[in-house]
Amino acid sequence: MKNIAILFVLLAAIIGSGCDHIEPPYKQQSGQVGTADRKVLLEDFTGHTCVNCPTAALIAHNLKTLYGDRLIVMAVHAGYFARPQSAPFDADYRSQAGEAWDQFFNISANGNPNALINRQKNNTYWHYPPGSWSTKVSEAMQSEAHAKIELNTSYEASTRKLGITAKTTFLTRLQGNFRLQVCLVEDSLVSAQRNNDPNAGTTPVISQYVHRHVLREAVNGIWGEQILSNPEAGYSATKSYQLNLPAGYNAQHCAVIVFVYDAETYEVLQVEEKHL
Amino acid sequence: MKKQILFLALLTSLVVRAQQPVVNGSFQLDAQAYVTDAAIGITDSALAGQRSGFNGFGNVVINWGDFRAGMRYEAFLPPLRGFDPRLEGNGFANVWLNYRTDFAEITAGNFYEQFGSGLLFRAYEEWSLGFDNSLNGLKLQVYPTKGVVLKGVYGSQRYFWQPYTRNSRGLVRGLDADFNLNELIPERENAPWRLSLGMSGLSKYQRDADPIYVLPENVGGWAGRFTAGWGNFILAGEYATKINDPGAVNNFIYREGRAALASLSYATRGFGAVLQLKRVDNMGFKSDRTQLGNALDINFIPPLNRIHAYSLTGKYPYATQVNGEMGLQLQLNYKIPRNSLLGGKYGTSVAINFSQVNDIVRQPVNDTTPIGQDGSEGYKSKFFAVSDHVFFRDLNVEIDKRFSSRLKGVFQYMNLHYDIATLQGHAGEEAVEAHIGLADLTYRIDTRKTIRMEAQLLLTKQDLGDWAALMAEYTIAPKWFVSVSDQYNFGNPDNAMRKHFYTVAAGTNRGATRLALSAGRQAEGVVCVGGVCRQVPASSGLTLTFSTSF
Repeated sequence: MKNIAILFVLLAAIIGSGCDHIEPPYKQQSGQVGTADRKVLLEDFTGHTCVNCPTAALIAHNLKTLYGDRLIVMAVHAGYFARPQSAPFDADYRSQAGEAWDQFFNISANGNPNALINRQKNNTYWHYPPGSWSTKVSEAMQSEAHAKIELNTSYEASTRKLGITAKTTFLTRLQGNFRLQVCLVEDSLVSAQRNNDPNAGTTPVISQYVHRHVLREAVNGIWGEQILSNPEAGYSATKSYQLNLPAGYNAQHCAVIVFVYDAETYEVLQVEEKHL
Repeated sequence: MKKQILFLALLTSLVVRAQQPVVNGSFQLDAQAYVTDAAIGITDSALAGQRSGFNGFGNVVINWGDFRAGMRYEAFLPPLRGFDPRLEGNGFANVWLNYRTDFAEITAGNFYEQFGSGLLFRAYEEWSLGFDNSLNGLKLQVYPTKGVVLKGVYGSQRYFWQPYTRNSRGLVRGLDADFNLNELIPERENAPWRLSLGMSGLSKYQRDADPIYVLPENVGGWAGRFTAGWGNFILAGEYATKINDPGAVNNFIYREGRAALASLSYATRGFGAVLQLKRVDNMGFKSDRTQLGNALDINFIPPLNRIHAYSLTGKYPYATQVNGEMGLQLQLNYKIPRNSLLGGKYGTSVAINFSQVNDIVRQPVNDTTPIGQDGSEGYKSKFFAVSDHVFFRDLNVEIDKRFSSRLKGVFQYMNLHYDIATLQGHAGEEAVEAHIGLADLTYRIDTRKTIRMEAQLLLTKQDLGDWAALMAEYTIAPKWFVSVSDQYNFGNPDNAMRKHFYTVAAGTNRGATRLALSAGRQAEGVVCVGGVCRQVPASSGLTLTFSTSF
């Protein structure tokens, strides 16, 4: 019996030491900050019939509140849950690039919502579930900035002509080929969204859901274009684009997102966003 | 790969040196070829280029005196449709060594284990779900005295093919003690009562690098259990709790988790009764707090529902709600004696089963925080309060009757309430209320040839409406069988979707080896084993199954 008593004490001690009781407040007052010139891209793969997606969008929104301009969120509507269906789910926010990325990074096959974070590979997978976004974004924020992007846009409302100039400057010497991707996003698109989280809105459908940061199209092709190979520190490349803002896009809600990535690993080195 | 070669070399040396090693194992191969079938919505884009799926494994265990060693190779190239795409890959998923003496037993490598009924910890593998949460680490079992078993486990859980790297996921460490009082106390060995007690503790470690939440890096839990027997009665109970464990499953709430199970059973000749109760409150437990779905589950909540084996009675299976549920099951089995009025010449078995699972009652923690708000206590809940929200109810009656030496039959009626919005995530859909009936007749033509016919009917106004299913199977014992079956969704509210799902199958059994080939359509559905489920998309094509064991 004595041995058993010892065992009980041992068990209690081990379990006791393996416990972190957290007292309120459960949320931190201020977030961790990384290097000021490092920005992070979170691509939220979503769809209007995905019931868990509003909760994920809320997580992205909270992170955006925490990091401000340093976190750039792009909602990519792709895959099964993004397909247009009978009203009220007849909106179609899919894009050629979004569908191609969804297939390539194998996102919706693993379910929605899931995100790419700086297109960094998670060992063997690309996607991160929403519960991991804040940790992964925080990590990405701490990483070194190897490039900076100076992004300028010009927009003429009468002709709907949009000019984009992106100057990428490498801050360190890097090996590899680097590509520039330019995207057009539109914010505050209102249409129905399925939802099962009362904290994110009405269930089962939010009829007037505000879709944020919706990827509309990739301006310079699905995989962008090559800008530099094996750049030395200080090397830069400037690219300019002219396009007509498609009818139906509300210019006041549109923004340009530009990112530079490693052509081999797909990892995003730097990202920038500018509203029209 | 080096590891596997070393391991094989070690195994070979063991076998070479061994006098009489005992080797056993099993192999299985499930392959499907998919074709487009526009009538049931399988188009090129739905298949996304996947023309075939392949799941296979080979498992070998070698026993050599006090040593045992095993390894399992798995290949998912790519996994069959409906299995987690993260399974894609091949390799040795499971490699282990075990050494045992009378006092202790140690296992190194990938192992399975369970504490009690699993409320706190269960590492297991379920091939039909593509589920495997084995621990990779060490397990120590000690037998200090008769009637006492102590267990300790330490490791990281399997996560598809992703190797464990620092901070890639959590670590699991646990201890369990089991006492059989009848064996432990010598003078009680032949006592009329039987009593065993158990307790366990488990803690997971996962680092906190979250900028928003203050997260517990070490989450501990404990459980206590007992089984008491007296005469024909057995009473058993288990209670588990864990400390604050915010994660994706519970929407990052900081409430403690609790689960309780109780069962009372009575058995006598020709009659058996089991009553089971459970309450689960915020008891999802994973070694990675960011995960949803079935991956990296540490614990297992046993379902208290009958597992239905027929296609239509199993069409709406229960999926355990780890965030909160209260369940009850009553099972009565009675064998009407032979040569009685109702029993007939051969006797008749009657089984009545009732189960119901409701939600728990949640109240806000204060006036300003909504229920389930992330970064809060989440909610308050009274232990014995049952919500009006019924997730699942199943009342079924089964009669097994032999009519003659050649003919026997199984007849079943099932009344079902199934909250499809919660259990399958079909937000906003009305709960399914269904009546299901079936007859399964087996007629033995002669000593070798048997024909079996199944007829089933499912009537419901919800979801996909009414279904009928027919099946005929002809067996030439012990080697051959052939079957044809059809499921017809004749009551689909959408006329265009009133489809047949027919299958033709044939196969052969040679001892422990089985080879079967089937062609046809599979209806969309959900497969659940032990309350853990996976979605099965509709498919059309050819399926080959091979399995053997030795």
